[in-house]
Amino acid sequence: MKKNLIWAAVFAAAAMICAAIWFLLPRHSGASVGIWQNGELIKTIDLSAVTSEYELTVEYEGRKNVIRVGPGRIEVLEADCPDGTCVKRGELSSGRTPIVCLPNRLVIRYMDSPGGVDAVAGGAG
Amino acid sequence: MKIKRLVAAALLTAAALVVFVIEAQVPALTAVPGVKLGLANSVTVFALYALGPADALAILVVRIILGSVATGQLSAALFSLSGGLLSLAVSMPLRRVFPAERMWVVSVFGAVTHNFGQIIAAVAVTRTPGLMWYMLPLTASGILTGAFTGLCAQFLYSRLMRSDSFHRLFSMQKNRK
Amino acid sequence: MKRIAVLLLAAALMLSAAGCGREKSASVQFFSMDTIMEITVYGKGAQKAADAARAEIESLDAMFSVSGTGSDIRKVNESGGGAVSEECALLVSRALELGADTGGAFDITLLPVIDAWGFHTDDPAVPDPAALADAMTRTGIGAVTVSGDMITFAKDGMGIDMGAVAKGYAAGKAAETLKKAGITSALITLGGNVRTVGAKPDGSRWRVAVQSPFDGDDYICVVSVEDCAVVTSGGYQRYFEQDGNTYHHIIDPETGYPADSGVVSATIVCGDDALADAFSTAVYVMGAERAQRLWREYDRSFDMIIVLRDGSVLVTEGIMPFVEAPGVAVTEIKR
Repeated sequence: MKKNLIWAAVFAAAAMICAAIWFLLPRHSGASVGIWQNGELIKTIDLSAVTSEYELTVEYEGRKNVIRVGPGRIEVLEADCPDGTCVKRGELSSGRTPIVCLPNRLVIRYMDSPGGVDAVAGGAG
Repeated sequence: MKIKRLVAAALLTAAALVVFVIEAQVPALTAVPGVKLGLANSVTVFALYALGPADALAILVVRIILGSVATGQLSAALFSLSGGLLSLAVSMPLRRVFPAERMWVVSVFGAVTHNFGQIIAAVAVTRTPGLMWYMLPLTASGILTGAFTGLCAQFLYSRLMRSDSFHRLFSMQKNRK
Repeated sequence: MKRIAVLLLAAALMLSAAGCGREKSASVQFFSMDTIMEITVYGKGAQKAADAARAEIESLDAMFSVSGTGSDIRKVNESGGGAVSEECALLVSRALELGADTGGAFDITLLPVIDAWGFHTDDPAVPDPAALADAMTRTGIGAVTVSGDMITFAKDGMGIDMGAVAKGYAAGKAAETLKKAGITSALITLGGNVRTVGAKPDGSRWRVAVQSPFDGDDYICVVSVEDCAVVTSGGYQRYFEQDGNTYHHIIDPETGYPADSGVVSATIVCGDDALADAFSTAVYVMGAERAQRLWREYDRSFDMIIVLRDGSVLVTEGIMPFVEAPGVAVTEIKR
């Protein structure tokens, strides 16, 4: 019985320490962003876990979109498409509408419903 | 002898599968991915002590495959396997260190390792190292759930040890530790 | 012991069989009708239902597209009339009806004008006044007749463009497909058209934001709905700039130019998808006053959220309790 109690105490302490650190951690803002290419989720990025800026390029039918990811931000830097709305769009803010490059079938948006909104009417016409 | 062990293993697999599927109907408790009771794992640790590592491995793998088919979530199989295999790998040597009276301790280590294995797989698949932070709540939850499922397994085991048919089916020597 | 084992195994196998297709939620994102679409379904058989809904939308796209090969509409436009599928004939005739109800503000016969502006190309531009005038003569909902499955144009060189109603209709059909599959909770977004099936899985209403016409990143308000369509039309969705002026894609059938009624965003909330889609365009063209008259004529059977150029918002009384518009001046439209 004594051995059980010792182990129980050890585990309880470990569990409490983990829980404490977790709840004290400021980071978790659920800033999880998804990148879809032609309907398929190709990447998820936790913006709050990004420490330094980097770029990633996606391609569709030979046309490229260069995406810049930084701590807490993401935007399309360059796009090989006729309208360039995705670049003009700027950064994905704590806002609700996604960044879309229609000709290149690219969608960048938050994974869950930001601001508690399930859908946006009039968006991405 | 062999057939008895096969039947015993099949029995445990079926039990684990049923428990798994039933638990899968319950919606996720928290937003943290992977926080669940994991009752099917009590069968795994039970099998580890009652039948041995090889059988426990077989039961685990078959249960994961059938379980992902049964719940229609085939992609989840990857994560379950990653977690389950790592967990078993850690539990096997621990079984030699801890007797049946401390089965629950092995289960705790197994549960925490299981969660770790799942997070590793998730990080690899999504290339999001930030997911590692989830190990904090998952360790705490793993300790709690591992203790609970381990106690279930241990309780069952100690009760069954008193029955003759259990010994016959599981081909165990009576009075074996 | 063996018997129990066998029984348990059998039970497990039966459970696996029953479990096939049992899923908690499924989401599918794809491109159709020139825009991104996303269908999120909850409940048993979610994946299959989502796939079926997607297939339904894609087949409707093939039927109504102005440019697709094998499209009924394209065929009719190219040959100055012709036979179409029953479904196509029904929607065209419904669209003409809705058009008449809006006093011609919603007009599916504007294709010649839309083409004059080049809105279906990558390079839209202000048309030559003579070309535009000519295109205008080739429009008019009164000049189209649907008889059985035959569509006839009374004038030469006419063409129909179902763009302003096809998405709404497709969303409605997709919702029907989902309901037939036993789904009671789903969210469909076709470009800017939102269609909700039932309520959210937890029973609460879906929260749909209306994009702000002033700041694409923000929204004007949030409306909580269940089991209906929410469709917004706005010039800000598609436009081009030339010589310092902005020209958007919602043409006023009376002038042939982008509508300028003072409305910058028109949202319709209604269970009838085609109506919601058609009227959102109509209201944008008609302006707030005519829209209110339409609302009363229609026995207030749909709801609207109208955003005016000065930033004020008009909301019909039916939906007023469900609208949240922090920091915005909202006026209720009463019966």
